[in-house]
Formats: sequence, structure tokens, C-alpha cells
Amino acid sequence: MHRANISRFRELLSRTEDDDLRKKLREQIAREEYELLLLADPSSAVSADPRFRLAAIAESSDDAIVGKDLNGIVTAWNKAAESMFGYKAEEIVGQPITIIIPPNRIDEEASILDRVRRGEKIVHFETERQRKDGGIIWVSLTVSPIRDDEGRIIGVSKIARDLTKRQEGERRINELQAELVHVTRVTELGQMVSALAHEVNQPLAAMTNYAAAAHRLLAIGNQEGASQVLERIAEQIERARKIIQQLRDFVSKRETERRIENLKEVIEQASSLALIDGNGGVNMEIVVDDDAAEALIDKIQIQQVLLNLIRNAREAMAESPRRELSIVTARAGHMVEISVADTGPGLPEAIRGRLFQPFVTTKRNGMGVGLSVCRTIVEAHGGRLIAEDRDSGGTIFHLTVPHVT
Amino acid sequence: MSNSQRKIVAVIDDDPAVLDSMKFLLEVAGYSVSAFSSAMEFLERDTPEPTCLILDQNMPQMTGSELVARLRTDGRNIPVLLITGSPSSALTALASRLGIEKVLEKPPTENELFSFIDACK
Repeated sequence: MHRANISRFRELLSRTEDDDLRKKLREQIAREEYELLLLADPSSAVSADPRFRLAAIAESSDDAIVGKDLNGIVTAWNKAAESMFGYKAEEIVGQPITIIIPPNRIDEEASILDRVRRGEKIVHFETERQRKDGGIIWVSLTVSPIRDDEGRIIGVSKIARDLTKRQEGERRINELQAELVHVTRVTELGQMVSALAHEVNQPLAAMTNYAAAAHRLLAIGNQEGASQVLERIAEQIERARKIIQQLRDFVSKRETERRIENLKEVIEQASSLALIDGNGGVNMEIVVDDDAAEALIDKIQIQQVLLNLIRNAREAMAESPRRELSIVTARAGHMVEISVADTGPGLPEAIRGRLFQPFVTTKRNGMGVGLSVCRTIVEAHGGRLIAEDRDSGGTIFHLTVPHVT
Repeated sequence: MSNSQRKIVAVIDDDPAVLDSMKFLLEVAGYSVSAFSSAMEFLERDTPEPTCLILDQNMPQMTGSELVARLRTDGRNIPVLLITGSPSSALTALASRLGIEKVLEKPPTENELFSFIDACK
């Protein structure tokens, strides 16, 4: 888990140039490495082994790391312990640990020490501790023996995690995830920029011609003709404005907003954006069931998912004799299922099981972040995104989102 | 503009608005215009040979330069103005091999457009 996260974050690091995100990714890697060390050997976090610069890590940890002797006298106390419990190291080192144990929990200490003396390790024991100011905090303790070179137990290391802070950590992961979605969207956008430039240039070219014509009509006194041309210019301005609006919606980074959306519209807009640089000879069919016509979704995010699936499908079918893409909605209990089916060659055996992992791709120039981000988005909606083979050949992706109740 | 009535300008563009606006402008200027929404349509429709051809490069199925290659193979040496949204030296080189008179970036100015047509006989 931690190792997988580390390599995932490293990979992301190598693929983004965004300084801010790089910094956050590095912090995340350091955090995961620390977790990994703790799992491997909790007591190592208080040892001073220079190979791992553990003293430094222990000092900068967000977890309180405390060393005790077998009588429960504090021998080490890091910075996080100072802020978590309110005692400075110089106040508490040499004092019994029972100072931070509330009276109703005082028996715990003897039994913890007993178990550690027998060589046992206590993992994620949730309990209460008392701060210097008297406040009670809820903590998770991991306690393990410290041994000398001969293997004799000479002390106890204790790591306390403030559980009131855990929710904060989860929030940070969510934030980072949202940022990744944004970065992916921007990368995807980069690939679409030339297509969009072409798209905006068309109404501009038409307007240039109409304006020149209007000028000529006015020069010969044909006011009526000129005003008709102005109407056509206005239509082209509207066309350009819509393209720019789509573009802005696509890159905008904002709080997730779930609304009741008309799925036909959502799907049609996503397809036109996805196929803006050509439909690659694909026949497209959209079937929206009356019973599954609306859903409670973040429109832009779900369109991002559909856009990915549609562009993937078009690419997968590039060499296929039959190129049919169908998007169908159906009601499934409280959810609406949207299925995107292609007539491509199907999923290669080699990547089938890892399809939704980041950086797995069948595309020569693909980043492979697309489907993992898609799944994140769908799961954030309380739905699921899965891929299946079709009996008739090709692949079908099913995604579920909440129906309006 | 006394003799411009006799000039027929063919315009090919897959974008309906670009095609309509070009046709409109050239008609206001006094030319006779035949408009086509694709290279295939131009090849298939039986129309009198135009005086010149104003052609979009970036079109599905058959691009502007592909059409010119086809016309030259068939021995049709109509003067061509090729309009492209993404100009490149490769395209310019290809155009000069195909005997394309002029390559302009989209949208061309009124001046560029009419000086090309006026030069065609």
C-alpha cells in the first residue's frame, strides 16, 4: 500500500512541472516513507540510526514519539509530543509517563508495560490521554520494545497519533486528489488546444468575410443588405462565445457542485467536445431511457469521464472495420447506469486487471492517468466504473451515478 | 469590375459558415460563385470549369492539397488559393510542388483574397 503509493507519487512527480504540486507530492512521498519505516520497525523511529536519519525523521514527525524505560520513565520526547501533550521535553524527560494518563486509564500503563516486557508489540491501540492543560485527546498508540545489541529489552517506544487530526489528513488527500483531477484535465486540454484553436478560427474567418462584405454593401448604399450581414456576424460571435465557454468550463477548477442534470444534454455536450477534432469515421448512437434521463451529478466532472471514455473508444476503433460507439442510459435501482460501448479490438489481456491503475496505458503517447482519475470521479459520486468485454467483440464501460430521488 | 461577371470562383470549405461568408463576399464583389462543402462534392458535381479555386486545406476525407494533386493528375490546371489554419513550411513546399499559386493563413485579408482573384485569367 505505502510502497504502491510512493511509486505512484514518484511517477506523478516525474510527469508534472507544476511547482506547487511537485512540492505537495514530495511531502506526500516523505510521509509514506515514514509510514513504511514505522510498519517495518516502530522502535526504529526513536533510534538514532544514521543510515535512515531516523532521529531527524522522528523530530519532524507529526506523530508524538516517546521513549520510556521499563519503569515507565520518559527518556525521549519529540517536537510533536510537545505540541500534542503540551509538555516541553525538558519538563517531562525523567518523569513518569503516567503524567499524561487520565486517572480512569491509569491501569492501562501497567498492562502495556507487562506486554512489552514479554516482547509483544501493541498496534493501533485507541485510548485517551491528558494534555498539560487538562484537555483530553483521543489517540492511537503503537507501542513496541526497544532492544539492545544483544536483543535484551531495555525500553519502550511509543508512537501516538492524534486521531482528531486524522480527519484533517483525509481531507488533505482529497484535496490532492482534486488537484490531480485538475492537472489531468489541463494536460488533456493541452492535447486539445490545436483542435480548439482551429474551432475558434472558423467563426473568425466567417466574420472577416462578412465584415468585408458589409463594408462593400455600405459603400454602395445598401443599408438593408449590410444589416442582414450583421446578423450573420452576430451568429458567428455567438458560436465563438460558446466554444470559449465550453473551454472555460473544462479547465475551471472549483468546488464540486452536484445538480440534477439532463443526461441527454450532458452526454451530447461531452461527445461534441470529445470529437471536436474529428469523429474518426465513428457512427455514434445515444439512447437515453425515459426512466434514466436525469442524475444528480457534477456535470463537468462526469463530462470529463465521458470525454475520456469516448476519446479512448474512438482511438481503440481506429483500425476496426466496424466503428460504432453507443452510449446508453438505464435505471438500476437508486442509480443510473451509463454504458459506453465500442466495436474495437477489446482490452489487451496484459492490462485487463490493471486498467484503472494510474500510468497503465495501451496508447503509445498516453499518460494513462485518464481511467484512474475517471474511477476516482465516479466513486466520489457514490458510483462504480467497470469495463467488460462485449459478446459481439469490443469493450463496454459501465458507470453508475445517483438517480434523482 | 466590368469583366468580373465572367469570372467563376469555386469555393470549397467544410465549415458551412466559412463557405457561406466567402460566397457572400465574392458575390457582393460581383463574381459568380459556386460553393462546395467537400472536395468530393467538387469532383462529383458536373459544373463549368471555374476561373479559380479557393480551397480549405483542413477537411475530412480529402484535404485541399490532396484534391489539387488529383486535379493536376487529371490535367486540370486551375489556379488555386489554398487557405490553411495551420501554416507550415512542409505545406508550403508541398503546395509549390503541386503548382498551387498561393497559400494563405486563415482568415485571409480582403486584399490578399481579391489580388489573387484579380490575377487569375
